[in-house]
Amino acid sequence: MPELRNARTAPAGVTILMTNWNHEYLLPRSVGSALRTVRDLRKHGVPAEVLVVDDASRDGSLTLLRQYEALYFEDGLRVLALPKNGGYVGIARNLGMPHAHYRHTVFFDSDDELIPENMIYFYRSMVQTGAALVYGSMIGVGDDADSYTLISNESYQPRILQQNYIGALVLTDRMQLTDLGGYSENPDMFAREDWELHLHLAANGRRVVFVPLVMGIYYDVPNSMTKDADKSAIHQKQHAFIRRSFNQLGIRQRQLLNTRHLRYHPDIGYL
Amino acid sequence: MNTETIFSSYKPIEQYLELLQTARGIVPSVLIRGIDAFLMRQIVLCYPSAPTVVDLAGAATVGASTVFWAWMAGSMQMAVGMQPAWDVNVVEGWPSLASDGSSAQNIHPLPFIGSESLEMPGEWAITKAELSINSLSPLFFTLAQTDGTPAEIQKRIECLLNLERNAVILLFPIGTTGESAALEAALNVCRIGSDYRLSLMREVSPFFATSQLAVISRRDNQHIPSILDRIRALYDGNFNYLALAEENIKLHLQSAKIQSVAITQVTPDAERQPDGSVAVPPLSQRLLKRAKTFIRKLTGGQVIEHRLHYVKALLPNQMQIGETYECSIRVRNDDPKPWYTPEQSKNCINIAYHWKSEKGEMLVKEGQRSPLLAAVFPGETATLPFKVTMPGQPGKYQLEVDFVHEGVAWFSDTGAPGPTFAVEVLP
Repeated sequence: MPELRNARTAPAGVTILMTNWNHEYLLPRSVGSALRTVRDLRKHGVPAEVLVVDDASRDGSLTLLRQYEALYFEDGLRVLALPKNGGYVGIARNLGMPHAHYRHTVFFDSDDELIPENMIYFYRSMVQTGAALVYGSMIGVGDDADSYTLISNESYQPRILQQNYIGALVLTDRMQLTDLGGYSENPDMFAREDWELHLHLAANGRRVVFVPLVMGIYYDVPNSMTKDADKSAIHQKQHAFIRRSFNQLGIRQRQLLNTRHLRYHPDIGYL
Repeated sequence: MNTETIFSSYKPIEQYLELLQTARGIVPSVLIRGIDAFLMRQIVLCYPSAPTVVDLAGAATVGASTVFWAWMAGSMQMAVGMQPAWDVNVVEGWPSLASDGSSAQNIHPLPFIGSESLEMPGEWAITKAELSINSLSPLFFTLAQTDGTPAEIQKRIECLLNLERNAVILLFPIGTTGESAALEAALNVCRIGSDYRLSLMREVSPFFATSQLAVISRRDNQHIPSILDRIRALYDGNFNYLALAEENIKLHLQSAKIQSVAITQVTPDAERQPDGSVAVPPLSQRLLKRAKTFIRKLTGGQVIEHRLHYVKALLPNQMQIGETYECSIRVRNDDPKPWYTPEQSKNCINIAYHWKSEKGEMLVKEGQRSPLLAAVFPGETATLPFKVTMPGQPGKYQLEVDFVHEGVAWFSDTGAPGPTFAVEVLP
């Protein structure tokens, strides 16, 4: 289990923790949406910041991120440059977590985009439900940029054991995550760390809540890590790992009681 | 790899100030900016031999600068604070309160000296000996100056340079030209012909535009210009902002040109016109149609194009103002899907109309809706009754019959405009 320092309770607010590895050309879109989200949250009285964790990129990312930080530091943009690539996004997220200023943390990949005006609803849902993790739908844009789908559009249910249908873009309670050891750093779960985390939280009785709003846009980028992980041998190994970790006896699907089908909207309540 | 960022350089200051404000309600009169923390740290880290920093900014920053240098102590020969006017326990006790373990473990206790040590060269020599300051270690002074006249500040700077002629002075906050006493004093010290050079960090790179840090160093000190170049390259690197912006505009224009060629130069299909003739629609209509299609695609909506064939319409050509008339129209449903009545679907098809002026300007977009009495299936031809209410003013008008797919679009907006009739409304 990774050692996560800084387990002290943090002030209420949102840190958008964005991990980046060699996504220089996609940073303007993702950083821009994160900064707009910070502005929108602050408008609602919620303190917020963007923490970009650069996982030792070799393209021009760090230079560009330095420029953004110089321009937008006063607007809440912070850059943490890791000296060495950990190889897995889970490691970068775990390393970034102790540097987040606020208690609630959005995990966000640098090839995606946030919907700024909706984040306040996810934040309110999180505070009101005491969840460890809330998530919403994502608009999926195909790599031809001309086809659209709605993904991550279901509440938590036993089907998660067969397939991760929840996107990597989530809002979490960093304290609960820290107490449970953060993301898995097991190399077998390459590009599927988020799936393992969702199951890990549920298995430990933490709430995973679906909010029926669009949280962001997922771009199906050519040559992404997810595509590498889709290669069948890796895929099968990961499924075996998940089965072994969470459902060795094949009964887990009957026990996801604390989080099963939790759907919530802050203006309505549980749905 | 240089992994220092503004965030990582500023973090101890940020944490310290937060604690100070929470516990004591104190906000210093001089706030060190994030960019300046980064630049000061870089200058010290890049200097060829580890310098000794004497922090004279502690009083103005209520210890923030002292905390900053204490945190960096491992990267320097030594950091020396001034005998503080504020509660020294706050500064010395801060590391144990820091929430981030990585910052706390970097903090080192630092020695303090009295102000008299800096007033006379003799006293300074004794202090250096007492503190065992290595005389080979380059000396840096940090000075935060907001009050005093330019002459007073100039005197203070010159006094420090008298103590150590090769010293580097990090001076902040430097305000705007003509309004900053510190800037004027620094300019006087570094006037043409003097031995000292003034480097304003905000002039080094456009990315340091918010910096309020000035560096005073001897003109023959070649390390400072070289270090500033190195720091600038971290930001500018291979990135030429203006050239990139220009390139971007060029690409954008090129793409716009391709788009416009696609629309204007490709021979468009002829379409049936409202008067029944077949002609190529004007460019404005084609652009409008393309824009609508694009917006629908962008919003993830399915592009629905309606097709129908108008056969015959029965309506009077002279009518009274304000009166409602029963009319009828015969059409064939060329859509692949049935047209449903309001009872069958909330996205039903209704018959409506638009009133236009004689010249074709839209006067009433939302004409009265008349529901279908029964569903019309694909390929089926039906005569459909509908009601028309006349405008309130007499005159000559155009009546455009149209169908509306409720909750989706007018047929005329999706490629199927209706027939238009000239109507005279009598008083």
